[in-house]
This record gives sequence, C-alpha cells and structure tokens, in this order.
Amino acid sequence: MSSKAILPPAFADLEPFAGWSLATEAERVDKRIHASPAEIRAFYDAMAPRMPAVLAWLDALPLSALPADAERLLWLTWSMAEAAMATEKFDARGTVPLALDVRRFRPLHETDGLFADKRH
Amino acid sequence: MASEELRDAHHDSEAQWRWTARFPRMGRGPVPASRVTDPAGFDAEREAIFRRCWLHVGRVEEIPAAGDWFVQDIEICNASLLIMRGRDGTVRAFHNICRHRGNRLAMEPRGNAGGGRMACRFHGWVYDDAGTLRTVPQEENFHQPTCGVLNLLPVACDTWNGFIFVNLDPAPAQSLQDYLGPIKDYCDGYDFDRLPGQFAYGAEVQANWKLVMDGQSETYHVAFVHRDSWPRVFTSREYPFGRNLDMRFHERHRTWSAAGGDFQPRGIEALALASGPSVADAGAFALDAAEHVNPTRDPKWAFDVVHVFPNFHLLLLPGVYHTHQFWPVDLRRTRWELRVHMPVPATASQTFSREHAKVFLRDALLEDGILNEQIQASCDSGVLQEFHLQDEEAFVRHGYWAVDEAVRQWQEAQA
Repeated sequence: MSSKAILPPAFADLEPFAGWSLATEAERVDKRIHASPAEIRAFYDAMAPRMPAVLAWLDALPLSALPADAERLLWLTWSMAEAAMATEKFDARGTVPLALDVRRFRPLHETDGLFADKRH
Repeated sequence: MASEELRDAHHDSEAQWRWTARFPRMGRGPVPASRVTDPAGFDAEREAIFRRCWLHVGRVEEIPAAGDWFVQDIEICNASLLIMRGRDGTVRAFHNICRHRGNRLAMEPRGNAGGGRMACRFHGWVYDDAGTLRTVPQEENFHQPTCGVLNLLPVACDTWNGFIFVNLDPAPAQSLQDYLGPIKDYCDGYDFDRLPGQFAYGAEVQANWKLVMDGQSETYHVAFVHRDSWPRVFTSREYPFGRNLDMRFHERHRTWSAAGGDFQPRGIEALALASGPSVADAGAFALDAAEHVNPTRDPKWAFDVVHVFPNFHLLLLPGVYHTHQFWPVDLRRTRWELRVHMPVPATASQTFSREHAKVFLRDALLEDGILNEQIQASCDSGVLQEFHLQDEEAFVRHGYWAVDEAVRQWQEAQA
C-alpha cells in the first residue's frame, strides 16, 4: 500500500478512497454520477468523521504552495462536497432526481478560463 | 366566458393584491402560452429588444490588463462581439468580424492582444486596441484603401458598477445611465470590487428564454421543487411557501427582496457553512454602504434581485453576489449563464466551503432547468393555452409585461 499511497501518511486510512481525489470538477462530477449509492455512502461515511482533522491539517499549510500529497487530500474534500450533497439530500444517489443531467451545466471556470486568475 | 366570470368573482378589491397593485398595468390575467411558442413574437423580441436595449455582457475585472479581451455571442442577433480593454484603460466593444472577408477576429473565448494588436487568423490583418486597421499583408495589391479605413465596427459600450453593457443599435436611443433610470442608484455602495468571480456555469436549456428567467423569479416553487435539495432555505413554519419582502416595478426594470426560512444545516453541510462562505452569505461587509439594498431591513432578509431589462438578474446577498443571464438562442433554446462572486478563499477549509456552495447551488438549478423544458413542451403541445400566476409571482408577470411593452413601443414607432 505504501508504494501506491497518494495521500499524506496521517490520512492513510483514507487511501481506499483515493480514487475520489480528482483535480477537476468535470472529473469529480463524472465520479459521482457513475458511483453507486453504496459507493457514495461508503466514501461519505469514511470521510465525514475525518473532515475536521483533514481541514485543520490542510489549514496549517499555505494554500498557494501545498505539497502534492496535501493537494490530493484537498481534492478529496472537494469530492466530499459532491458526496455530501448526494448523501445528505438525495439518498446517496449520484444523479439529482427529477433534474437536468449535471453534464449539461458546463463549469465555465474550468472550460472557459473564466475567473482563472482569481481562484485557487 | 365562465372562467372570466369566475376570475372576476375571485377579485375582491384592488387593495388585496399586495404586489400587482403596485404596478396595475401588468394586469392580472393568465399569460398566453403563445408567448413562448410564437415565432413572430420571437422575431419581434429580436428587433424591439435585443437589437436596441443595453445588454449586460460581463465584468470589468474579467479584462484587467491592457489588451485583455473576451468574446460575447448574442445568438438571437447572430452577433459575436469582442470586448477589449485598451492601453488607455477604456473598455470598448466591436463586432468580432475582420473587415477583409468577414472571418471572426477572435476565435477563442478570451485572451490578450499583445502590444494592443490583434491579428486575423485568415490573412493576418492587424487591428489595434481602438479597432483601427493597422497593417495588411500585400496592402498595395488591394483595389480599395484598407489601413485606417476598414476598421473594426464599433458597438456602443458602457459600464455600471463594473458591469459591462453593450447596445447593438448603431445609435442607441438612450445612454446606459438613462436606460437604467430609477434603478441606476440601487446598488450604490455595494462592494463589488472585493468579490471576484469564483465559479460559473453555462447551460443550454430547451426552453424559451423567458421561461428560464421565470424559474429564477419567484420562491413560491422552492418548497416543492427543492424540497430535498434546499429544505427550509426560503420557507419556515411561519411562512411555508416563502415570503417576499418587497417588489418594485420601474417600467421595464424591477427589484425584489425576499426573506430566508429556518434552514437547519446538518452534517457535512453544516461543516461547510461553518468553514467559510456559502452561496448565501460571506459576511455583511459588502453591504455596509449599500443603503438601497435590503429596503425593508427585515431581520430575515435573504437576497435582493435587481432585474435589468431584458435578460439580466443580479442577486445581491451579504458578501456574495450571483448573476444570471438568459440568452435567447432561438425560440425554444436558451443559453443560461450563472456566475457567483464571493471572497477568494484564503484557506483549504474555505475552498471546501466554496466547493460545497457550488454543488449546493448547481444541484438545485438542475432541478429548475428540467421544469423549464417541461413547461416549454406543454406550451408546444397546443393543449395548454395559458398559464396562471398568483400575486406573489408578480416578478414573473412583470417580465411578460415588460417584454410586451417594449415590443408594443417598437411596433408603434414602426407604424
């Protein structure tokens, strides 16, 4: 496991969910909509109790110069935003019920370079 | 007939109507479904509105440096515009058309004209940041004068609180300030400068632009459409269907103020809200000097919407603002663009809050979008002849009145 570990050692327990560490919103959305409710809930359940520690650990580092493993941990929290909405609002369904397909909302902050210099 | 009588019987007195009484010209009857299905109506909207009104296209901070530009398409008019900041600091708009043979001068959504020069990809004609044609390869071979003559075609352009507006009319009837009229001071003091854009979405919705706008013009639907995604965001035990605090109708423009509910975030949602800004609140600082915003000063105030006719919604919240732009592509197609401006995250926790805010808003808007398409289909069926609006939906109703009025005035001027 250590040879394949991508997260900081302090959060080795989250390595089984490293597949949720994705840099772009397009990838995180793709992961969410193709995950089963059981997969989403498993990620949520593992991550939820660790979130305060994860955020506190990341907040101690300079946001603009995160080491690679810390940045991958940050991306995991961003996927947690997707998993949390799915779990807490939609019964862990990856797609929003009775709604447009999320892929029809183009994230212009990624695809168009909009606000590119203003965001972390 | 019978329904007309019923409708009259239903009216008790003018005084019972909280919002439509403020602008009786908007009427109280049903809205004909043809308003979103009639091709002639769409053509009239193009001529009367989109070719003549001031249209919001973006923010000045999108193009902070000399030579920065972005492209704005206005599909209903088959227009592509190039918005550029010159080396003199002035923001100008041009038709995005090379005068040689009509190629698009800019072929990317945004960029920078190095040295204030921009070259056409087709044959290398070079324009400067004031739109003047500067160099033409093999200039001596052209049969007509080129440099300094075949300049970019300018488009009227002005700004309001840092929002860039254009007007496709070669000689606009009004300045932007006069066009905004009674709403031009509404945002005075709101601290837009401290709130850079943080995320944005673009969606093509298979529905008339007015239907997409309607979906963002009332909170009556929230208790139902967003029962899972946004429970009690705008509703409460006391006000189970939401509560409008204020609506004002200023001829074509309008403003609206609404109260929040007794939202009780739990779990990770509560952590996200505790860790940084949300789509609804990033601290009151942006409002400190904004004396006209939140006109009722209600303690449960949630947001104001400033609607700039014809297709721009500006949502003002504490430390956050959103813009919605509803661009007609054709009669049954709308390019809906949402932008959210909030403080730049300073910590990892705050980026997590922003990501949660993004998902929270996006997922609810997906729920709105599908309704727009279903309503369009119902209107297209020919079965539904009209749709109905209650008094708390007066912001929607006024939208139809304002479009009608603009078309009527234009038609009168043509006659």
